[in-house]
Amino acid sequence: MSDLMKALTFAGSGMEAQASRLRHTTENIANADTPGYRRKITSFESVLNGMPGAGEVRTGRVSLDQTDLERIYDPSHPLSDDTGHHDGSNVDLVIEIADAREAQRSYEANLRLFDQARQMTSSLLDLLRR
Amino acid sequence: MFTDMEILRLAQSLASHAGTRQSVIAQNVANADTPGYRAKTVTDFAALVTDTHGQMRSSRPGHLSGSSTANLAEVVDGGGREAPNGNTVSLEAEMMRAGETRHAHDLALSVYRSSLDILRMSVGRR
Repeated sequence: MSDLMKALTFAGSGMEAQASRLRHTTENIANADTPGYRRKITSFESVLNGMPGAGEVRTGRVSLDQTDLERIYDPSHPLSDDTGHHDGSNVDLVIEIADAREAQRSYEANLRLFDQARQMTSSLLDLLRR
Repeated sequence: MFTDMEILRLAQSLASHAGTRQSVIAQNVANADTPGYRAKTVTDFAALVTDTHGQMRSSRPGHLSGSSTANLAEVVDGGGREAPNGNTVSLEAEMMRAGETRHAHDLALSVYRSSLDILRMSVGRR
């Protein structure tokens, strides 16, 4: 029973981490046209043995993608320099969509295991109900 | 049957083994995107049971001598192919294992329940 409870906690931590990854992906997509925006990258790390919540996953520090910003030619833009260019963002929509899809897939896998552990617990408790 | 209830003990061990396995699978799936994470797995239940009277095999003499049914399942490295970030979890394989675990747990609980039914019937309660 305690193992099943642990399974619920693990699956819950996985869902939480994937949800936060999806949130950062959404922020990136929302800011795809913001001048000077660098895309945020979520990192995952697992909690080491001996710490509270060992084996769970959690999100680490958010880092910024340091690749070059896109140079956009638009002389009428207030941020444009002498050559008529200004910095765009380095968000690539294709990458963000793929990342969001992967987060969804992992989230569903965690959800399925959560549900299975829940059903196993309740069928265990059904034994007492007779 | 009534002296030491082997079947109940065996069913309980199988259910508890399935619980351990489920928690290991959940841990793997939660860490499916963690760089450098190695997938884990639990030793097979069949490896814990010798073919003599369904007694549990013990790793140390003196273990499991009485009615105790400690869970001897060991957590070992699951192997598997390594992704470029050093992660060895395969979601598909974990889902397969989750299905097997569910099956084993259901089996254990069914055996337990019907053994209890037989016992109830034999003491005249229905």
